[in-house]
Amino acid sequence: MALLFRDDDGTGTFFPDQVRGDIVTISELDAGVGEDPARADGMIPITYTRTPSFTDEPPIRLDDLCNQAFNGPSPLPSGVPAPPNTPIDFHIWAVGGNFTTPDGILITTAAGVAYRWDLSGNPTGHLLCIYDASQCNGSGYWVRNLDGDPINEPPSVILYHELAHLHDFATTGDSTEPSAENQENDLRDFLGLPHRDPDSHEGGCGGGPSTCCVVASLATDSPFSDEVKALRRVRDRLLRRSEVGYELFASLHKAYYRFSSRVCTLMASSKAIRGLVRSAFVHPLVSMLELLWSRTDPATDLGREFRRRVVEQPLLSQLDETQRQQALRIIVEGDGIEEHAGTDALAQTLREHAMSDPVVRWALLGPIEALLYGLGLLQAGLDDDALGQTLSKRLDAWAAEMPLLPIWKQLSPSERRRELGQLESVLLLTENARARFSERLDQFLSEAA
Amino acid sequence: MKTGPRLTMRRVEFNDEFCSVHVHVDNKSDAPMHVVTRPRGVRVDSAGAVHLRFWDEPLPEGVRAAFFSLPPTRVLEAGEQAEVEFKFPRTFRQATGKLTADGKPEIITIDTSTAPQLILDLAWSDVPFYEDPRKKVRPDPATLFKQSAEWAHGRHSLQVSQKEGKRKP
Repeated sequence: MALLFRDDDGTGTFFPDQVRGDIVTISELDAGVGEDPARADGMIPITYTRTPSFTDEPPIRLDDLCNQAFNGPSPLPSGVPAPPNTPIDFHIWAVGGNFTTPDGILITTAAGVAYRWDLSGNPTGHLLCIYDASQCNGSGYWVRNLDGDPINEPPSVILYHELAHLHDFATTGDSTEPSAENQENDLRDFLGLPHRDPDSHEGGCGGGPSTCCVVASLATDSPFSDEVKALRRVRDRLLRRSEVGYELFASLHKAYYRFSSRVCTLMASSKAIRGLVRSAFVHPLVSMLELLWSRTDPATDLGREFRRRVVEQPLLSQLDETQRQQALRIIVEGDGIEEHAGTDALAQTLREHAMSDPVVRWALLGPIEALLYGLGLLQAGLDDDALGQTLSKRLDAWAAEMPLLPIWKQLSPSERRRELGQLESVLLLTENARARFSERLDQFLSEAA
Repeated sequence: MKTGPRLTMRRVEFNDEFCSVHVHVDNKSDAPMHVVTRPRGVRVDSAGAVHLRFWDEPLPEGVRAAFFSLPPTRVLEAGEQAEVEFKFPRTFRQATGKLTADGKPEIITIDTSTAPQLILDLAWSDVPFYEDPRKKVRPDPATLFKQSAEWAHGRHSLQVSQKEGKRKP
């Protein structure tokens, strides 16, 4: 009997009934779960006789925790002291949303925490996990699935995640997050919940994050629209994974939040502006970024792929020559359009805050301009070959002008080579683009010396 | 930021479960403020004052977390003024990390409504917080706690005057 949970002490701190329910869920509703009377120290031992037909990981894990004797890893990893008590017990505390650890950390900032026997804050001399039975004071928790979308993180899953950490501690002395998150997915299978992304470690209270791509969210009526999801994918799975991309995004992010609210205010005051931003800015940006990401080979039939994307996207295919020219006038010239009230203010905002910033101009306006340019070629009747060749030249010229940020000067030569290699695989696809970028980079680096 | 924001306490409301402190925030800077609106930690100082900390601190070494719960924020644009609500449990239960004589965990109750002094250690940043997906970064919530601590670079301590409080039955 090694798995125990803390009984109610009359202070409203501990919630044993939550543990009872969550353990039954982890057993996958096996009738073999029970408990012994509370001990003098207020801990209640969990008993479990697993029904042989229950062969999924969660009941097997529960069986291990309840019935196996754990004496600690052998040999002990460096820096890990031997457990003071063997066999090791696994202690569970289900607490409220107002619980704080000895270090003053509110449980709602982490939903659950796990302590090895030797860690400060764990007075039990055994393994201890503490989890929030209140589900963030009733608002619920979310984490990210494999597509980056928010998904529910119920208390039984939080408990199972923490028990995975404790089991890892007991057997190896250490525990990693991807390991616990992969194990958590075993219980998600039983509950019919989507898998959590084992490479994402953020979550929150409520239904999901509220601050992402505010202009695209408002223009498309939802922070979870296809367009916003696509922008988030480019941000998290491509751009911010490299050192240079991370810095570029940080710079873009800072500049973007200085004008995005003005664009949102303009959209809120005019349906026409909102429609224009969606069809002429947000959608072209998303389409072009996706096209760039998928364009790993310069020989790809860029023209055919471009045509396919335009045809498949009504918002793009319905953008006529007049609207295309109007959009270009706003983002290239920084001029409003007489027929559209409010476009003056939009153009002014872009002129003052977007066009003047080299990163915003390159990362946001550049791809939109390229798409609108390609749309013009399509509407002029170019065939796929001619379209692809012309567009390819345009994209190469744009890619080679990527703003050079101080991070380049901070990288070691090997790091710089790695960054360049990544850029060459996704952005600088032709010799011309690479040569031009290298020339600029060399000059930039020599300025440092 | 060129100029710091001005924060002025307006009113405080208690009910049985929660406390809300309403603060007038005048963002006099030229950048937005993403103000953290829910506390991330609590401590009682040697004088008995209760501090609610709205920025993160690194997790203690070795502690594992289910995930890093993003701090909820309210956005104020550059030059904007607004009344911001900071809401938190009226009482906190804190484990001391020790056991009582009968082997039970020692728990103290921190009541914000009766504390001799209640101080909100407020925090904000000019951009939202995003998870760092770089491969070189250690992939765990502890890293995010550390990065969030650095992210919330705008800070201001505000003493809550109980005189302005309005206790609800």
